Amino acid sequence: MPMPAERMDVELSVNGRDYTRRQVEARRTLADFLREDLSLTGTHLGCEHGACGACTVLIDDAPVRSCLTLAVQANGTRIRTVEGLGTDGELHAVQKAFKQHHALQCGFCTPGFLTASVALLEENPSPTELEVREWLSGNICRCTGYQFIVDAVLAAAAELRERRGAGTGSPA
Amino acid sequence: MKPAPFSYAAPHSVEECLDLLSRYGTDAKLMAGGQSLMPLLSLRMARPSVIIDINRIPGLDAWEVTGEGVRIGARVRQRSLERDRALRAEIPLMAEAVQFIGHPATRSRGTIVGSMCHADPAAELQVCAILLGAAFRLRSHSGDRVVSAEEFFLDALTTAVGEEELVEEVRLPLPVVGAGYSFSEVSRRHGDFAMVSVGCIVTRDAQGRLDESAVALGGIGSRAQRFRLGDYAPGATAVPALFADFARHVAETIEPDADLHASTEYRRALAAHLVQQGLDVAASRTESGAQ
Amino acid sequence: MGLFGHRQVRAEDDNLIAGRGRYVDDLRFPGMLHVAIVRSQVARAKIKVDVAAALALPGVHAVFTADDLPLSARILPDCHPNPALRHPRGPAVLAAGEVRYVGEPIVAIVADSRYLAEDAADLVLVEYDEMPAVIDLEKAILPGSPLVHPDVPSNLGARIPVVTGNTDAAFAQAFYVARERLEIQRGAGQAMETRGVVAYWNEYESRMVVWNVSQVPFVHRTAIANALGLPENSVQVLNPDVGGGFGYKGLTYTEDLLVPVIARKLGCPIKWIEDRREHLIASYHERTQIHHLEMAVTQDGVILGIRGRFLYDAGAYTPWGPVVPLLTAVNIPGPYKVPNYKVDADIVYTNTVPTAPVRGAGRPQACYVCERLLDKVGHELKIDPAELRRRNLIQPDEFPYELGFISRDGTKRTYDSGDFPALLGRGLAMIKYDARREEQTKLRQEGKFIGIGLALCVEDTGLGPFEEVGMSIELDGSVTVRMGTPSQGQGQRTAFAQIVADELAVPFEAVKVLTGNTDLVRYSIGTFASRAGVVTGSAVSIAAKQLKQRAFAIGGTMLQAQAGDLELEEGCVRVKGQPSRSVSLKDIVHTSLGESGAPLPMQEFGPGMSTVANFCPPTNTFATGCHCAVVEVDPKTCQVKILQYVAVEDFGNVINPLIVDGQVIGGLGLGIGNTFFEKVVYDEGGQILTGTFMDYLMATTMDVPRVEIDYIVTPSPLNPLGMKGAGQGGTIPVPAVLSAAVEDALQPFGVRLNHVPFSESDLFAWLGEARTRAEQAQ
Repeated sequence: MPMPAERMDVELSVNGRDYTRRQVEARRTLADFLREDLSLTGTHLGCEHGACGACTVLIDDAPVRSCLTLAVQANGTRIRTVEGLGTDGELHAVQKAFKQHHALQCGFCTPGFLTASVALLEENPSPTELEVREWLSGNICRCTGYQFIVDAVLAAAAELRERRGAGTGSPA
Repeated sequence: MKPAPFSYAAPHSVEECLDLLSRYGTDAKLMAGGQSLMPLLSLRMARPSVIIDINRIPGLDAWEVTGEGVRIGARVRQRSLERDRALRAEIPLMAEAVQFIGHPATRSRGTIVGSMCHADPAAELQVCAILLGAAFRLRSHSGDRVVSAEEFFLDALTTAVGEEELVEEVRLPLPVVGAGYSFSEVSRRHGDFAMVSVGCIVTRDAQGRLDESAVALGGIGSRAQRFRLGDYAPGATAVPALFADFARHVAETIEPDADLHASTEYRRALAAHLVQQGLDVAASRTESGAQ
Repeated sequence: MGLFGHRQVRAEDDNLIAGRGRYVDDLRFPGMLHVAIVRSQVARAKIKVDVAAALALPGVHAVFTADDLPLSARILPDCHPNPALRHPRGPAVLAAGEVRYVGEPIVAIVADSRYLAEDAADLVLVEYDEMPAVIDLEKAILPGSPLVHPDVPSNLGARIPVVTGNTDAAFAQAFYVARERLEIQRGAGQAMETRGVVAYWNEYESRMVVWNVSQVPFVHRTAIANALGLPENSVQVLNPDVGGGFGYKGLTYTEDLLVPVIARKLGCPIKWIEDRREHLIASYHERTQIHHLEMAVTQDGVILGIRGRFLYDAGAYTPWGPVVPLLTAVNIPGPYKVPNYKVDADIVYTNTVPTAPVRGAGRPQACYVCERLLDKVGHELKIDPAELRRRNLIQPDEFPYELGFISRDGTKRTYDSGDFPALLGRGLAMIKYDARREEQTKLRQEGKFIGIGLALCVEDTGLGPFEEVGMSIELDGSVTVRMGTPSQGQGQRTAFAQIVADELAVPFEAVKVLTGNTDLVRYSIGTFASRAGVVTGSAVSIAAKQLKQRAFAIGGTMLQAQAGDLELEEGCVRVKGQPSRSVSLKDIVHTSLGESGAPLPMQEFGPGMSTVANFCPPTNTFATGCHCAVVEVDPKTCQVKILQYVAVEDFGNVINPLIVDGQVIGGLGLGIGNTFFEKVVYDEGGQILTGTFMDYLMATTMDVPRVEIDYIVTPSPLNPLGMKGAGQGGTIPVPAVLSAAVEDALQPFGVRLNHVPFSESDLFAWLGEARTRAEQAQ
């Protein structure tokens, strides 16, 4: 029987980098672990009770509220945060579309919208506007009124489809 | 909003989990998806001294179909109801209900059994469990038992689960052959807890009688409630105003609470509307189509 | 083509989309300690505090109560003193012996981490000797009500009358008088980033360095200097990326003073980050007002006058004076000709969180009550709502239009420019008003209920007294702009760089706009009331023009040409028509700075290509707008679906329509919340029942519709670029428009809407009331 402990070691991969034997307090949220222990401050805390979506990260590719997950529970997982959405130094198509479509103002909720949107497009490359809206309905933005966020996600989806089409040589 | 200190253990078997439960009992709290428990911890409204995380227990993440029905392990995520076509086919009611449960990022961690154990009276999965006549398999060192949904949900946020018990799985009957199901609700916003939610089954026996048709309602008080059509109109077959009359009867019978979001009277009116509409939709999905 | 008016994507975004934003909670300094605040759990009590157990907890460094604060740091300053408010009361920094609302700060804990600080906060014992409290606004002014401040004779802290003409005479002639009790309930700012402060004492420079989320850093600099007994030049306030302002970050709170006080005393960096629960129960709210108003009209529906009073819920203190109710009182006439007007704003103390401006600031209330009264007039006199408004609008040839009373800034309230009939006309055309009316009739026969709502509004924007901008062309030809109005996400770095790039003919990328640091300019008023674009933007334009003239003067000397013969193109001063006679801005800067150790070559111009400019608007300008909506209401579920939403805005000339579109749609998001969702609810004992985002609801992707936006442009004559502020126009008319649309949809049922926000359940209750009225009428 494992004995309950107030501190323990975790090992995990974040944005492709392996972290081994990081000791954390059992009560520490994954969000605080990412922000305070790994200095990945791109993940933001908007409500700390799972109702705003600002802290959304991808755990093993699934979108998760990092304020509703303990750091110790992330042991052995592969995490992506907003800092790790791009590849080879290039921003993700969703990130670029957010800038192009003015999908952010203060930028505080943006990391959560970006991670959630990337998760959506990885699961559903051709979402309808309603599907985008439903998927993002758990993320609160106080600045934008959402319209340009929805536009950006739809545009990024189209861009990614086109890229994939070009890559495989199939007709666009 | 940081949780108070606690100790944490992640058992690797049901046996280890039961050992921990018997040792720490009242001081311990089980965590599966954590989507209801974590906010309570962060608000310091829950202060267990030990968290027992069941996410490392093999087997609990599986579901299977047996002769008696579908068995869903304690850590099967709500997302499975969206992504797993085979599971959706076995429980069409829950497959329809899942779109109303929170949001993708909560469903990817939140578990089906965990939501039921939290026993929020407005939760969609409680309505499904009550309507379908679910049963829960409870394990502990003092013995295992199976508890029906009617006995399981005692009150708001209160279940029949003992301090040293683990809910290992929920068991749901297979879909009734030829029956139609529907789930609908009205909430303040998409993904919020329902002001009223309604699950319906419409089914006919060989004589065309609708007795085993039923509805269950959530958001109307301390727990979801089930109403069997046969109790209201025994032997009824297809009568034009039957569903409307039954809906009115249900709405008059319930005693919904008022809260910040909806009055008693409004909830009653919603119940009448959703029951009638839900039965119509379910009837249209039966093998024989609309009545 | 110039960049002014161009949909330029934002310079700010590269950091923010990559997770490289730097918000106050992202700041880390060696040895930094963390603060948690113990807040009152009751609405009114004498208190005794025992902190011994908290102080004894390992990891706790200090515990502060009111007694531990210097005398200069015990009461928060009144940022907007107003003689009409005869009994202003500033909040205590930490409650001393008595608490007056749930959430009032009592004790500050300083510990190694926020986790530990909260553990210690749990150990603080506060003994509450409870006293009678008053929560309800209408009960607070009844005789015998408990007094929020025993030394203030009545909870009615002030009555501010706004008057023009002779209302008694006007009402005596009225054909019809519409009377309503109209209520707007309490809401809150709820930026996604809560408040936060980080402070440390810079021993080397003997300076207090404070990072905070302020919309008014210079106001905070003064308050912090006073609290610490330091000269103002020994305080620096810095604003990193700020996650939304919405007005409430323009105030001074306990923590703004407390954190620097603690940092000074303990000698190490101190961080306090408000959590969402604190924000919901303790950051200032707005909007609660109850209006008893009458509108007198002729048989044709022409407004003769408006009179009445309204109650404004100040909460327990008046941190921003009477600004919000004053804004309502002067904004009720809006775009309409109201020759006779007498409205009293009654400011009432209650044992609740103090109230202060939230985006819109008193104007959504004003627009709502005026438009509701007009809708009643239209209904009773059977005049089409669009036609009724047309008959009452101020006409384009009537500007400047004097309202006959004094504005918020003490000047005679005068609309500088606008075209209300054009706004209305465009809005009606965009929703195809006449076709919609036909559709409505047809659908009603099918048992479907759609409704059309419209409202016009006016917003006083671009307030004085001034903003200052410093601007330099650097040795490499890049341009640095220094300004005082900080950003909370509006995109100033982008918009102001557009102005500079145009004026100095340099690439957009060559302009860097610096803000959020009190060392950058001599003084600044701040970012609020849709003023940064207008006032700072104008100062930017003036500064750039000054540098351009300077470039012509110095360049002309270098080229031996007259300034009038010169042009500035592609970063070079050139003689018109002789492109080979050209000198680059870079060379001008080099020449004007001279060589190290040698005399300045052109003594007559002084050194360098730098300037400082101020813009001081004579008074505020007015943004105007017209919103129209079509909704469908299901009378069974009482759910409202917005089928179409149209916003026509007149912000004068617009620097960046992309950014301004964003302001309009974002403003609408708050307006939707104000209409359907956002409500801070107190129980009778003064406990807030909406202490989480599960209860305090804001609009989501599923609630804010796609908006069709169009602009009418009437440039303001009050500033060099003809701009009008765009920060709040998206929010102000929304509750009025959607209330009108829902009421119109349910017109066959006789429903009357008289408060916002309203839920499905409220709509159900209104339907019931209408049924009862109909039955009684039979």
